[in-house]
Parts: sequence; C-alpha cells; structure tokens
Amino acid sequence: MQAALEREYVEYVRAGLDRLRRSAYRLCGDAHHGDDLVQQAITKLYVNWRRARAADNTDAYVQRILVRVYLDERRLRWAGVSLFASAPEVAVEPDHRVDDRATLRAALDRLPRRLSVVLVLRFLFDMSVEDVAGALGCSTGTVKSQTARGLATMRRLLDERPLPITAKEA
Amino acid sequence: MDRLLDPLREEDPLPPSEVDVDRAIRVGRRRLRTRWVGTGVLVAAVALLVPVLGLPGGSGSSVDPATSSQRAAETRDFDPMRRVVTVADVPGIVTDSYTTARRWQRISVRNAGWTGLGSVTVHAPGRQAADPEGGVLRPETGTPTEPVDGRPAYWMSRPSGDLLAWQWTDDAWAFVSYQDVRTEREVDRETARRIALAVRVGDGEPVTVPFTLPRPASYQLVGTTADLRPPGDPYVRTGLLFATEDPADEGRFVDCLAVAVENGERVASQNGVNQTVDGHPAMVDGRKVTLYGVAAGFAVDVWGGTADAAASLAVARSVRLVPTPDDRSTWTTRPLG
Repeated sequence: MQAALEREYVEYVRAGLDRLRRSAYRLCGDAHHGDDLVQQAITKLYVNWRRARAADNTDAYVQRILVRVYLDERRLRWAGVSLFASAPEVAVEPDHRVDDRATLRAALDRLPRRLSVVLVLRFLFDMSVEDVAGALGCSTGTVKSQTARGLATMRRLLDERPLPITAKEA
Repeated sequence: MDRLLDPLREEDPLPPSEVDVDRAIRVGRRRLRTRWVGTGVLVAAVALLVPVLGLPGGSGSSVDPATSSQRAAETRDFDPMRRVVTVADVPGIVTDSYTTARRWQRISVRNAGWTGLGSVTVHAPGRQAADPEGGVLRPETGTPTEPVDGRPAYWMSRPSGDLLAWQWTDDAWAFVSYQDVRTEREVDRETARRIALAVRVGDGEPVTVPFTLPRPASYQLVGTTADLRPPGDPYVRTGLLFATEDPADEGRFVDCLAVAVENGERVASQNGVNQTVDGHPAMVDGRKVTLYGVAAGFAVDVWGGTADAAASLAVARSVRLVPTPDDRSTWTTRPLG
C-alpha cells in the first residue's frame, strides 16, 4: 500500500476506533472479546482499504467487515485457528443495571448467532431493515422474519429469568 | 421499534483499548504480499460456513425448514476419533486442516499460492446440512450437474458462493466450495469439481494426539482439529473439542471447550505471559489459558467453556504431553485418561 494511503488508513482507524470498539462490544457483550474482533476487522480493512475508501459509505463498509468477523468466528472455534490471542482481565463493579444487562446479554448469547446479530444491528445499531439486509447479504424479508423470531425467542428465554418490568413493558 | 434490548444501550465505559493498529498494518502487509487478499478471505470464509450453516438469504430455495419427515430414518454418525475422509492428489491443491465431529467431517484445502481457499464437508448418513435457525439444505433443489463418482450431483447457489453437492452414499451428502481471488468468477467450479472427484470416504484412520487429559467434568468429546502438514514438517497444532452437548451443527450455541497443543514460532514468542504456572510461563485471561514451554517447545492451550479461569486453568494443568511429542509415532489414540 502506498504511504499516503496507509496514512489515510491509520487516520481513519484511529478516529473511529472508539466507535468500532463500542460496536464490537454490542455485538459480543465482552470488551476484551470485542477488541479481538476489532483487531481482526481493522486488519481486513487494511487489506481492503482501497475498496473501503471508495465505498459510498466507508463506515457502513467497515461495520459490515466487523459483523462478518463476528459471524465467522464460530467456524474458527471449530477449525482450531489460533486461539492464542491475549487480553488481560479487567474487573467491572457489579450493580443492578449490570445484572439486568447481563441477563439480557445472556439471553441474547443463547440465540443462534445469526439471530442475535440481526437483533443487535436493528436495535442497538439502529440500522434499518434494508441496511441490515445489505450488511448480511440477505433479503429484507429474511431480516424481518429473523427479527421476529429473535425477539420471540428472547422473550421466551427471559421468561425463564424475568427482567425488570420496565424493560419488558417497553 | 421494539425496546426489549434498550437496557443494553446503558453501557459502562470500555476498558483501555487492546487494539493494536500497528499490528493490523504488519499483518495486513503480510497478507497483501502473499496475495491473501482480504476479500478472498472474507468470501471464502463465508463459503466455508455454507455447507453446515446454510446461511439464509438469496433465493432461499435450497433451504427448507427441518421437518420430521425430512429427517433420516437411520443415522450412522462418524466417530470423532477417526478421520474417514481423504482428498487424493489434486494438482495445485493441498489439504490444510481436518476437523472431525460426529455428524460431519471437514477438510479445508487451499492452493499453493494461498489465493484459493475451499473446503470439503462430508455429512454422516442420515445427517443433513443444517441451517442455524433450524432449516436444512436440500441439494436436490439445486441445478443438476454431472455425477460425482457416479452419484447425483448439484450446484447450489448461495449468497456467499456456489457449492457443489453430491450424494456420496445413500442418504448422505458432501459439499465442496472453492474460491480463488485471482479468478473473475465467484467460484472456481472446475477446481471444486476436481476436488470433489478426489474425495474418498472409508474406514479411515484413528486420530492421534500428543497428549492426554482427564475428561473435563460435564463435557463430552465432540470433535478434533488438526493442522495438516507434509511429512517431515515439525509444526504441530492439534486439539480436542469438548462440549456439554453434541452440537447439531457448528453454528448452534453450545458450551464448547477447546484443548490444543502447538509448537513452533508462534508459541515460542510466548505472547501475553502474565504469570507462572507450575514453573511454566502462562497467559491466563478469563476463559483463555495458555501454558508455554510445557515440553519440547510445546504449549498447551485451553479456550472456551463457561466456567471461570480457575476451571480452565485446572484443565490446562491436567494435560500431559506424551514423552516425545515431536515424534508422531508416539502419539496416542486414547487421549482421555
């Protein structure tokens, strides 16, 4: 890659790193795991930087890479690709809100990964049905049906361990 | 707009970043040099998922909901401690890794230039290629093509690339995907076909590993993984995969625990060491535990599971390498002590 392009890449990544880390965290629910995802995503971005910078929406392009990294990860576990990533442990002070979120997160994590990604993109990334379909390479009908299935499954799982009323009634 | 997930918007501040932009550049440069173009990796990786995940989307015509009538009357699962699939010589193609499981087995393949990547996934009789949401792939709905080894074969169009499916025996299907980033076409059908013609399924050979361990409590052995290398290549990475239940497919959520050993340069660098365990440099990070320099340059790696770090560490400490782990003839077929 040319030096100028590389500088552009570095500037883009550094400027958007917090947003990327937050997106990854919302996808996987773990900050350290999220950083692993971001590391993989920005490496892929480097390789594809020419295409990414030429995209109509570079941020959306990068977000798509991140989602793909997350979706592909399940395969990596099976394939035995390097498990030698490192990340120091950081403790988080518990509070009730954290408990609520942990319950929600646990339910989200029990969904098939594809369904959980659809829900995260729709309701935490605030993406439209059309944008989610574009990111996942599927039809809008598929996104709608998976959203409905995901929410229904989430509610069923949460019935086993209810959330506070405010969250369920909203 | 549904508000169910709203509590997840209230997030704590993230800990300091562990993302290393310089490392991304170094690795990215290396990939560009080897023409392992990211797009190809991404596309091919998705293609590798297709045989077992049956990613929804596109026409969707080849994915049907699983019903009791579609399930096989008789299943004959594979033994996860036997490798039953082989890919005979295909000019320009090498086998890269092997994954065993009860319901399917897979060999990943690539070309010598690392620009082409593919996989062969063979499902056990009576087992269907599953969709993560419960559907199954139905090869018969694809486009008929020339038989493979005299057996019916079909091309299946999927959002992530075409698959060649053939009925390798009664009530059992195999799938090949292969993509080369140098070609204009999305899928190199000719190479995929050559690979399919080279696939053989037989009694196979037992899986051997250079270590033993007691079966981790509450887990069962569900599969094995191994990097495949030419004879004489000293590099080893091989492992066992445990789970609390035998997953119907690799996209299904199950509690998995991977135990692997590896030698070579990657573990020689002892990345992330943060403590000493039994006299060995170790990286202990939540569910990830790596014990370096256990014997003969081998590291022990434990990853996954839902237990705490102490439990993962206990599993790692329970691993015993065979006396000469760099001599494959001394490896064991019975790793669970």
